[in-house]
Amino acid sequence: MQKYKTYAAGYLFLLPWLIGFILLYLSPIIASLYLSFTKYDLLTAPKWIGFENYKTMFTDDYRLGDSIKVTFQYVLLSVPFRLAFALGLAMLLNQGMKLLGLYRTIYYIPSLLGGSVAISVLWKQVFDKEGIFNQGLSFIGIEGPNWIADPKYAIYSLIGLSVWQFGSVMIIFLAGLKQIPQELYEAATVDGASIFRKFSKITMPLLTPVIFFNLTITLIQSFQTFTKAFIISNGSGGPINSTLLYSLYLYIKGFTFLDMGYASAMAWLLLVIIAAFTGLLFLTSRYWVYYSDGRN
Amino acid sequence: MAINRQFKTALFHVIVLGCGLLMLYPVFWLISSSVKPTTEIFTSKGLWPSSITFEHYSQGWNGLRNIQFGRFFLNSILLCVVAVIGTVLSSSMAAFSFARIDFPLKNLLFALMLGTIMLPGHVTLIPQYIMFHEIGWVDTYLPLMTPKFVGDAFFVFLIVQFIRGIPKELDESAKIDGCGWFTLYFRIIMPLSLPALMTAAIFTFMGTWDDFFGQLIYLSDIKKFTVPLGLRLFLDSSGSSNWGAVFAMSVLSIVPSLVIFFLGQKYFTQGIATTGLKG
Amino acid sequence: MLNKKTITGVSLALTMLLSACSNGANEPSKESSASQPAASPSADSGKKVELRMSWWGSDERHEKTQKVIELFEQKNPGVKITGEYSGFDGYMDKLNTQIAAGNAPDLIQMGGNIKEYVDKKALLDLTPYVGNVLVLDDFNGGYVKAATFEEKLYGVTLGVSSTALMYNASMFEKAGVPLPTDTWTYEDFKTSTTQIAQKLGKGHYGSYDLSSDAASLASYLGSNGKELYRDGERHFDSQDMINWFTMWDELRKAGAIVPADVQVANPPTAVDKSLIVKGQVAIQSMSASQIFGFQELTQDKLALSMYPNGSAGSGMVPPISGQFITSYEGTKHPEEVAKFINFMVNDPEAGVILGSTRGVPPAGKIRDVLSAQSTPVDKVLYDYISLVSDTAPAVEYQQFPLDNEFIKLLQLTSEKIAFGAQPIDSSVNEFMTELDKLLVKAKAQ
Repeated sequence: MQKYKTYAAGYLFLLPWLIGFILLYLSPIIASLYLSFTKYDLLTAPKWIGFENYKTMFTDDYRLGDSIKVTFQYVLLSVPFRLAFALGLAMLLNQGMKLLGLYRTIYYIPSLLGGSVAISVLWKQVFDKEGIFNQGLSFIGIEGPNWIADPKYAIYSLIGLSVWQFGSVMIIFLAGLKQIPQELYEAATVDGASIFRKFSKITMPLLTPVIFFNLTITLIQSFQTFTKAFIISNGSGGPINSTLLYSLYLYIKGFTFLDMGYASAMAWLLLVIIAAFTGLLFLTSRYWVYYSDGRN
Repeated sequence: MAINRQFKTALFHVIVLGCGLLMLYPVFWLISSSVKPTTEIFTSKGLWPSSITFEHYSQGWNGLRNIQFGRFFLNSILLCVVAVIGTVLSSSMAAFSFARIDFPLKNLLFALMLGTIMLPGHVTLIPQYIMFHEIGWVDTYLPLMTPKFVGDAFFVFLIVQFIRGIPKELDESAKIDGCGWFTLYFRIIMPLSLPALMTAAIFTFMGTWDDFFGQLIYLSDIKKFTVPLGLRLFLDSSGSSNWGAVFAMSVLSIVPSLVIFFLGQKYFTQGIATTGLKG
Repeated sequence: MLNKKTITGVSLALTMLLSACSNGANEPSKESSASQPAASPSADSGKKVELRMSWWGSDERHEKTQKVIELFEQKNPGVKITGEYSGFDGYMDKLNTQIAAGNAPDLIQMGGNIKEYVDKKALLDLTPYVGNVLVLDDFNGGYVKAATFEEKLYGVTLGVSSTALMYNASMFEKAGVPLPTDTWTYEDFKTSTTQIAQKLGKGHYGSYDLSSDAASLASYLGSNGKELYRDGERHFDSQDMINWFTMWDELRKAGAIVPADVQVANPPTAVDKSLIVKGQVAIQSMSASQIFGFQELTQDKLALSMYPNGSAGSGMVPPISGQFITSYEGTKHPEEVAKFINFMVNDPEAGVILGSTRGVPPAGKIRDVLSAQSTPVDKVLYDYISLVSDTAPAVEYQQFPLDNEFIKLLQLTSEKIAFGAQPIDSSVNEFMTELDKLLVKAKAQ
């Protein structure tokens, strides 16, 4: 009896999400799956073509290969840098010092700009051939390339942008650090533990749920990055497809080339890729994520 | 020793502040461009304008026919406030359920929930639009607000992670004291998750503030326009853009989020006193 | 509406559930629209006809178009038109979404892709209103024809424009290079651009790299007796493309045109980043009516020229309609729509308000009024359009189908060559293969 009461409570708290999921998300999701088996140009009714879109994706789309390559490059570089930056600064800004509130705000401001239209101009101003970044490099005798316009480097300016906007990840780390009970540190200090010992025995283990969260979410979001690539390349993904992130290509296919059926098929391939990576993370999590609620 | 320590502190401040200011260079450029004369915006290299003008601000604020930019701010704020309330409430409830209560199909439902943020939104947009059109919600705020009340996978997951950092013994002792699930959620777990809730609130505010595509698709009447849509009124990639006004209004558009962040940060940077409760 | 079936099967029941809860929440908007007829009982049936109109453009165009709408409403108290306007980014996305849901505005501003929407039956046939509500007697036949498909009229030209080379005349003068003439050739183009680059020194170029510009390519092919596209086929071969890219490659090596990375960083179409405006590049290709935005930002004198001549003479096509006003096929008030379209293009007052924001007005009467009060830039545009009308061979322009995909393909090929990522012949091979695939795909539609 008690058991069923618990079940009921669980579903009761889940009710808003459950209703929303069924009413708002489920049918569009199923519709997009259906559309992935059709030829759909938005203007006329979709036509069933079976696995045609999927076949084309794997056999006859030279841009898709480029796009997947660029996306993996972006994910593999931006995720670790973003996390490392955010974690480092969160630790630095988590001490009981004056002015930290101000510093936190300063470091967070870039993230406030988000995908604002002004960003595209700002970023070009910084990473242009004669931009401030190359002026800095010239001090140490390096002549920098045109970071945004050179196909060899354009992806790095995109990665740079994503690292620059590390603020939200930092905030989550900060919140996580604050959740660690102070008395643990006090007790450790009494025991004479060093800073490093405190870090490796207290901070790290207790922060693992938040690290896990940030890793998973940053990964999912990085695979789907769209706005950054869109505004930096003026929606083209160029030069020579060097910033053609998967979601950007999907958008171009669906909305510019009016091939929404194909775009839907692409979306489901991406879902499978992301789900595979996320699934792996969840599988490994039991070995390194520590939960205070005692259930791993 | 004391001097050494002072020196270290000073060095810390210099480095942190220095790097911070360097990171803010683009933002300074934005602010400076918003007060530069139009012809100077893209031609002069320096940050410092030759003369300061506020015409872009007045142009941006009053330059549109029949409508003031302030209206877009009010609309955005309304939308964001509703979004924050809805998201925090619904996400925290779902998170509490996932983190603290055992029920059948829990893992499957959690995976499904994460799945909803793995599918690129561009392909569900059209079906969703058609659905909202069928029920007559297009060109109202409802398609933008309603989804916020069902919980957002990102925040549910976030809050779950935080709740799981709260020792389970609390629940047990609360139950012994005769607390029901609701009291446990509302009186114990929620206050202890305040940093996560505040984080969710701030992110929701900013995410909603920034969302261009959704607002573009659903809102048509200019009186309902929000800040991102208002900004695009000055921008025409196929012809000429009024960049001065764009920059000026972009600067203003950061202000609300900045204020909220500055005021809100004490909630997620203050430790939570778990000790008192434990005893 | 069109793909209602897609969703209905899945979610009809759910939708109905939702609409049940929607009634209360939806009230405010219903109320506001209901309150209007009460305020103005003048309209025939006691209810105002409400139309929606969408367009893209700059804030100046928004302002002027709204003024015209207000003027129309004053003269036609029974009609209310709500504008839905924005910059170009996202305009087509939103329109396509609205069409997919059967919810598009009654009046739609369209660009060169009008045919695609006609083919998909998204636009209203305006033919029944021509001659009574909609008067087009004052229009050059070509402009009417531009929106006529299978003898039905689907749109009315808002502004006439033509592809053009825009050049910075001040730079030509500074370099002591003669200005482009109507009869200049590709050899002249090479000489002029090389000279400008040499005389003005580092960081200055004779022209943008136009190898990625579809209009330039089309004109080049035309001037050599070939054609980019007609009736489902391409009318050129890979040798033409090799010649084309080789010509630009030589200019690039001579330093006469903008290097690849500089071009990507300062794309010619972006007014704010344009190197013509900064006095660093002398020539670029674009739609002639865009000159206003550029001239606004610079003290240098800008002017328009036709593309160079080739072995077969000029490859220009006659001026075309840059933008159309069209009507959504699902509109409930076609008559009022036609009335407004007529007002927009024929009413002298409206014509004066709109000026040349969308190119040269198509109605001769309005053009006369405007040219009496034209600015120097207006005059440059007007003169150019009449020059092209007089010079261009009388060919009927056919747009490449799947134009967006073609443009992307051309740009990719051009970038591969410009950045030295792939040699010309293999790039051209890939280009031709992909192009032929596009043609097959277009036919299948």
